[in-house]
Amino acid sequence: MRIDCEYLKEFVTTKLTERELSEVLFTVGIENSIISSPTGPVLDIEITPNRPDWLSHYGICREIAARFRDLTFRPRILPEIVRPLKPEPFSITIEDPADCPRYSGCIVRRIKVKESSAALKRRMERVGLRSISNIVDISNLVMYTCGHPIHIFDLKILTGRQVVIRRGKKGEDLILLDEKKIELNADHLVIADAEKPVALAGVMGGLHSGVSDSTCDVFIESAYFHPHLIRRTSRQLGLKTDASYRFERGMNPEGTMEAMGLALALIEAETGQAPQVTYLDDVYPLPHAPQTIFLDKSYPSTLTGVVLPEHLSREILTKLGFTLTDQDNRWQVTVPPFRVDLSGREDLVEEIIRIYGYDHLVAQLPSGCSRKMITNPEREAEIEVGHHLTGNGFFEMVNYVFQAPEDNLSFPEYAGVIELKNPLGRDFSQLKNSLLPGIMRNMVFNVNQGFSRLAVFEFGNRFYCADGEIHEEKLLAMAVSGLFQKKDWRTDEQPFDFSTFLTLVQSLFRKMRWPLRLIPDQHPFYEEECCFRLSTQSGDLGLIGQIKQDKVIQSGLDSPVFAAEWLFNRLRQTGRPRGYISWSRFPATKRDFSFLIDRTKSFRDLVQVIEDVKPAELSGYDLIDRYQGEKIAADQVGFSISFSYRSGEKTLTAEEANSLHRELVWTLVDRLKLVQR
Amino acid sequence: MMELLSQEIEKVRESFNAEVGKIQSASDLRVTRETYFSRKRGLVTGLYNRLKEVPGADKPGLGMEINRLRVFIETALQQAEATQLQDGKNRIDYSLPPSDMPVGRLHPLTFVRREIESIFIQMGYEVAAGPEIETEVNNFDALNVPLNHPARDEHDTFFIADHDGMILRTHTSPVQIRYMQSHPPPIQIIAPGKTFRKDNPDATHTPVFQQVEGLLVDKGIHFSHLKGTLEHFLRLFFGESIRMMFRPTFFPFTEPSADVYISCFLCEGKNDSCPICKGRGWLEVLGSGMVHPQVLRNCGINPDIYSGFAFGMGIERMTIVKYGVPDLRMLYDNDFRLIEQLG
Repeated sequence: MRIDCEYLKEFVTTKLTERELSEVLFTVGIENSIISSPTGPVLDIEITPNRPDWLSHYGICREIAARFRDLTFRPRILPEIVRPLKPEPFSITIEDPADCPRYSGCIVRRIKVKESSAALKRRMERVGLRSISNIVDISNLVMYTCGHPIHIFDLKILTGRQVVIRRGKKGEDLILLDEKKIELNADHLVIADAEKPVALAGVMGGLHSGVSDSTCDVFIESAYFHPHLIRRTSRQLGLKTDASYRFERGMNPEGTMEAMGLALALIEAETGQAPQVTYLDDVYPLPHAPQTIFLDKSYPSTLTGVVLPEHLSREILTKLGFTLTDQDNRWQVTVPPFRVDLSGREDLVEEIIRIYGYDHLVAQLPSGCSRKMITNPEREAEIEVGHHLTGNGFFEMVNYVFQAPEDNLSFPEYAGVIELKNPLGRDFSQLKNSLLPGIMRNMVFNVNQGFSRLAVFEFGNRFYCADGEIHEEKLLAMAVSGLFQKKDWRTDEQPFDFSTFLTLVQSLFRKMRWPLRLIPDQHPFYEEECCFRLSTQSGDLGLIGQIKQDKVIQSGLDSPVFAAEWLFNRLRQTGRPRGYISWSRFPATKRDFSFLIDRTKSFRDLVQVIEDVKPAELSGYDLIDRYQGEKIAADQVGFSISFSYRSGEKTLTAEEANSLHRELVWTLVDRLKLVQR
Repeated sequence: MMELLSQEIEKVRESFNAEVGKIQSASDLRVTRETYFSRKRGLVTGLYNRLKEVPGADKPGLGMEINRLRVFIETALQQAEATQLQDGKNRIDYSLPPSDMPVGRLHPLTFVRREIESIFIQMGYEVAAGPEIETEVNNFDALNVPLNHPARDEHDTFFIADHDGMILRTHTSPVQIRYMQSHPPPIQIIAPGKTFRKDNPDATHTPVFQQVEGLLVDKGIHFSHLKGTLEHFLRLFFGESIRMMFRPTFFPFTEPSADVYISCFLCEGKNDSCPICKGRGWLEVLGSGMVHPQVLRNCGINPDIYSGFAFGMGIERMTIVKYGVPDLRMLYDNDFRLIEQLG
């Protein structure tokens, strides 16, 4: 809303410039900017939803006067409205006081509707309104001055010498000032005469009942409507006007007569003649109950931490329109009826400190808060994982939580997918049950930026519904694709394969002390031959493998993708805690074993047998070579394993080691039909 | 004596012949030169010294032999040097580039979040977390947000289908509510996390964004404590020279409330058309206030005994202001180039 500083100065004698006023309003909490207009700069203010009383020049004046000790807000002095001795017959009827707690109205006869005077036109221009006619401009100016919206009707259109404030009836319609026709119903509050609705109460007047060149007599309405009803009507019909904006936030039920008086005073000023009031009534079935708040005199200082002398609090509140009654060590504060935003003493403290100035607050730190501190192992694990993965060349991704239904369908085990009622679009209509489709999209994006090495990870939730309950679980997802090693002067380029991915994963698990036990499994998102589940004592925690080729191609990548996704919180709990375990003082000795094995067997099968039959002295073994080709039969593959033997009691002699090794080799050859080389 | 010296001369020659083939680099060359010609311990230098003790008649002869040896060694070393320069096979070029060992980085939002967390942890705050899908009660009602508030419209908040009263949280304040309901005061927490609002993505809005909110509840906490805490945080996060402005505003869950601004470090308020602060000279970074007594009551905390403050900031906004990212959507593109720069 535009504020004309020249107009302000008619009510508060300040010498501040536009710039200075802008600054003052900003510091007391009113957002604003300076706009230039043909007649000079004006302010454009923005209110917070709780302060509709700022939507007027009076409201702004009050703030400025409160801010400066030497200023006083003096609203326009209005002549007392004289009730006509013999009023003409007319009636105002309110159907439901709850909808309309107060309706003040008057008839003014022999009004000449014409072009506004130069002064009025200038005022309109400065507050950003189009000048229509003297009467219409005056009704707008009343609203912009004291904040209360009024409405002026052409009296001759009102049939039956009455105005009824009632709900609309089904089947009724009304053509509004903007020439749109609306169908009315019982949710709408209307102003009607004996026959028909003539205005949508608090929102917009009817086209035909408005003031025009042919108007000679007017009916001035100044009323208070229930905010919720006006809001509902405005929303339902999609109509937002200056009037509805104010009414729905809460106007001043005690301000209707002042607004009417202001209208009459402005008419007199504009026409040069005292208005001929032939009817006046103020129907006030539901009087406003004044709101009282008790404020301990010491409370402002306690809440702000600033020493606020009592007289300061009293002065500021009084200037803002509050009435204070002394009650020993507290005040009984009466809230002015134009303030709809206060509920307790903290609100009063805010009024005091914001007018006094937040710059009076002295920055202090609270002294240490003593309470039981706890560790946060989930956060620490996340930090450690982040360090390790980034150190190993992974980039962290952060994505939205939304997923398209097709992407979620690739994970059939998560049947309870969660949908949004009002998504941004179909592709964002569900919540993720896996992070993998999202990070694959991230990889495609970066391939298109020219990156050939893709290694990413993400921490994020998956969402699902089970037994009617909503669940969220944190996942850790990792994926790689493209080149593991770029070509340089020493090495050839090396693409990622499952083995290099697994090396990186193993490195993470080792760092975190998580056991890595993988069991072959099947899943529609992964290739049949390359899919493993992570099996732990607390259950299966996720999968790792090669993403199905058709999914990879569909997403737009052309190199294979290897990925893993795990339930992070359960995974981190599998970690072995640190602790000292004594190690053997005696050296280990190695023996190698080279052999051929049937190609249909996998390394896994070997491991299973070794684990099954290994002697206590076997401290470890490594696959040091694997060969196939010319010198080996087509249906076989060759391995070389280096076994380490160590005793906890003594240094093994060569014969003892040989004996253990022979024993082990013999068993392996026997069980797996190996051919020793 | 004469035999001894000529034998020594022979030994030195043999020793050199054995060594010369092993010269591979400039440092080898230098070492060899030192071995034979160094003033104190050089083997040839030693021969010349021994010459002094030889009887006069034998001197010229032996002297000539040593000279011949010296010339022989010097020539051989010069040749070795020349060969070195021509024959690159044995030379090691230490200026060749090292292999690329890839280094990854945390996402800028994670990095900034950790920066913010560290500052508050240092001040004694605990990091709390809560679910991303929340009840309307925890997200709005418990925070004193009335039913007809525009934020509760379907065009601002994401509602969960088939689960009445469940939404994607619009701020991390519900974490504070949960914490207050399950822990007696004193309370000192920050709650970072993802939050969701139904906004179409543009340069300053994304439907998913991250916040860090904070809460301190104890006896005797007041507004100046809030100002002090936030000033402390802003100085540590943006730098000592930053100026802060504390300005009144409105939130349903705090009273009094304050918006916090920092001085624009691009133009310092001197440029009316500054792209960052739009000429204001100030950038809004935090919302805050004293926790509304009704909110405390809703969590079973007696506002006559305890008071507290709360504050909140957008991690994206802090990232953009501190590191100059021009468009918020870039933070969700996950472009390696941006992550490399800011992570």
